[in-house]
Amino acid sequence: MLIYGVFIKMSFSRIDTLWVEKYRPKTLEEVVDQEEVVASLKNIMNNIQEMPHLLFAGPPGTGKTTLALVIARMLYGDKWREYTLELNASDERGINVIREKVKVFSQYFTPTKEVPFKLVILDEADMMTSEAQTALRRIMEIYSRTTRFILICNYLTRIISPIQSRCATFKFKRIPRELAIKYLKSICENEKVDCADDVLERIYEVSAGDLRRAINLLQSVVNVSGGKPKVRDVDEIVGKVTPGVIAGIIERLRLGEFKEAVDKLFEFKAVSGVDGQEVIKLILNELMMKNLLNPKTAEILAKYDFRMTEGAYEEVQLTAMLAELAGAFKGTG
Amino acid sequence: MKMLWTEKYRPRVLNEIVGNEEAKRELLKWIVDWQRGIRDNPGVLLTGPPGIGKTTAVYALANELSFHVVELNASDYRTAQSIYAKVGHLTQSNTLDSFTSGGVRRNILIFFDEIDGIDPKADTGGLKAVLDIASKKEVPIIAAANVPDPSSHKELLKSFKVIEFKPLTPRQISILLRRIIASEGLSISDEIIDKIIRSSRGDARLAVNLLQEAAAGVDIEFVSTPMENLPFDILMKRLSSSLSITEIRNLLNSNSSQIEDVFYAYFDMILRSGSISLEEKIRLLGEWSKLDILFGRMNKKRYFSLFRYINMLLPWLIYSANRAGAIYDGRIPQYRLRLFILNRGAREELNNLYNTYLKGRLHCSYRKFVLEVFPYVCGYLKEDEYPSLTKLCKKGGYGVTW
Amino acid sequence: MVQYMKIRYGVPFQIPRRLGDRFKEIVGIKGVRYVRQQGFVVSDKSALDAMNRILIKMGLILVPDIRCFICGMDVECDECSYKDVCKRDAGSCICSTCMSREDVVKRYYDTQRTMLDQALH
Repeated sequence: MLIYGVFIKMSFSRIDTLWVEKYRPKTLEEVVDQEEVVASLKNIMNNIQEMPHLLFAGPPGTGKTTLALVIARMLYGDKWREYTLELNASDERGINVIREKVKVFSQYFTPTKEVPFKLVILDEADMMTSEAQTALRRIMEIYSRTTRFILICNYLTRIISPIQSRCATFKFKRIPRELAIKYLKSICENEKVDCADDVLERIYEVSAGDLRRAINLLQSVVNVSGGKPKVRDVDEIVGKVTPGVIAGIIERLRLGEFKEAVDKLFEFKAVSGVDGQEVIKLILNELMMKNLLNPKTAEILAKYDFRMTEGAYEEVQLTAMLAELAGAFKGTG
Repeated sequence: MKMLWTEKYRPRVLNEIVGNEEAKRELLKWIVDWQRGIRDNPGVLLTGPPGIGKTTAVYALANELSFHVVELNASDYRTAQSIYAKVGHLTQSNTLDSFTSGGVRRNILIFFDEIDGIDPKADTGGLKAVLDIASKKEVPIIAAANVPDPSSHKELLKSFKVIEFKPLTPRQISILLRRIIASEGLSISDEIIDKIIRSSRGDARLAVNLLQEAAAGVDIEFVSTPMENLPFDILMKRLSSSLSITEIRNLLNSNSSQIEDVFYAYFDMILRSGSISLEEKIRLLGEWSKLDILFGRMNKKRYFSLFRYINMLLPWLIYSANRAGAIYDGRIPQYRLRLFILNRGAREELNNLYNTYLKGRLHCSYRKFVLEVFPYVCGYLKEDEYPSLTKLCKKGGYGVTW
Repeated sequence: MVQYMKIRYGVPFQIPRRLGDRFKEIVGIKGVRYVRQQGFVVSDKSALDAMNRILIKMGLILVPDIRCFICGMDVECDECSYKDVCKRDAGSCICSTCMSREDVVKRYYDTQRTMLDQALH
């Protein structure tokens, strides 16, 4: 089997491949689940000349980016990198940067029979403001003769309707348990790792249908355990990655260990460098998962989310927010 | 932790307070009379500049005669409504006017500090509420004002017994210093003691602070005469040992270039304080975050007239933090470490890792990389290439290492 | 012939002169109060100075009487090495004789203890 993956020779010493990339499907046949999406896409790809803009929506780790890359390969074969522009709305600073990049990419291109258009994959499109999306719609129109867009988002509702109406929309579902575990097993076989069923089950449970997270977890568990993973290795790792760390912070708040919670949050921020609003979003998700989101806690989060744009130091605002949350938890027992 | 001598030597009984002997005697006599049922005045008003023992006298008095002090201050209770909510029930007949603490039944004493902080015009009814509560003569009430003549509070002056506190005389300051010098076993030259006495201007607290600074080897001349541009450490010590709005305000006004540093250092003190209750922390950090927004707007929009509001609000906040028990222990404020050193190193390395090796090969955004990929792969990092990141990961906060 | 009269800050005293219209003028001074049946109360040096400006026309000068808290003798402020930094408006001080004793701190607290105990009973 041809290994296609990410080589990070310089910095990563023990292995040079990330399994999420190494085992990313490259053809429609390899894609796990999403049968309806795959069937519709097959129809569209039968008549490439008339391919519309595409909009992929669904929870993380369900194959949206993978399918977009599969389409690129189907369109252009091995030369796909030449004709594809990958953009991330959360990385590009503003719509003007996106416009410039698309312009440079598309303007001097002449369509041929073999290559009827270039492809722009715009990930995390729902992170854009509605003003930026309106500008994006115009960009899509201006370059429609030479360029097709695949927009990727988690929440369809956050995409303005003029864009939705110009795209063929595909809704991705969470990957079911049996299929996800089957896929994890095939990775294990290929890597010659002996991984018991209960470990894979646990990985699925904590990653909740997100295949990217499941594969990342699997790889970490294998690394940490040195080849013979146990269920408790999974649990240990979960406490050290994003949702687990946030859960730990919230647990400390509930125990009244306010100062420890603050220290943990700042450690997390120091390593990850995520900004304050992202932190609030993560906390919001975690509170929802734990059924701790109520009018009181929601109001606190909303208040500080709003303030974050005005405050001088995120650290001050976040600390005050944790303090208020600690008080809210204490109040409810 | 270094303890402030103003705390260590804060008098617990009236007799330990130096100076204002007659004023203390009057105060003691008033409360003794009150207990005997002689209640000519509805309350007492202590006047005088900061740092000469008004607040200390009230607490020492309460301690000696087993009173439980219910304290109000103008920073938290400015309106009639908030005052009634806090102490209104204490004065209704048939309610308990005592408080059990440590198995001892204690009578209640209401202490309204910095009553001149109530603006008789703006804070409608606040003063009237105090007078109203006092007029029932059911609970002794003592007020304190920093101005020698709170003439704007005519009503208060008319009905309350006024007891005036004066700055200490140089010789009284000398008595105070001698006691601490003996207790600490210090050897300090007469020349320096003389400087401290002259610099303190009758302010007992300032004198004690200066003595501690001198004992630590700080040149007194440098920190005493001009209040401007005090070294940050000394400014923080002075601020945190002060229980007077006026003094805090003066210190901030004459060191305005350091206000922002003071603000964030205080934030840090509150956060890590072991003596402030969680409820108080929530309240104080909430106040701080509100002021932080003012700083944010001011700096972002270059809207410097906002500084006026900061100037007005910060003294009150520092005052209430001091009341709640914030103590400056001389440590480097952690916020600087967090904001500028830890974060910067780690963030730069993370950016570098993403941009050098992963961009274009890993099909996800930087944000997703940070949240969803990095924590799983940081075990691969070579320590010599990514020292800050590996150090933080190994500490166990975030990221899987093996 | 000017008459000197020692007064103490915060302690009421009578003025041995017929004041007439001057009365109003005197109680109008910041830091001077009149307590019925007891007399005038002067709070500090600046008030005293202002009062003296009026009284000197009647041949009277008030001087603050600062006595030693420990022994009760006159403190003799003019002899004090700190006279340049002292406002001399305190009710009492400590005389140089007492100051020079080694046990002055203990004696100060002992004296005060006695005074406060009296107030308690």
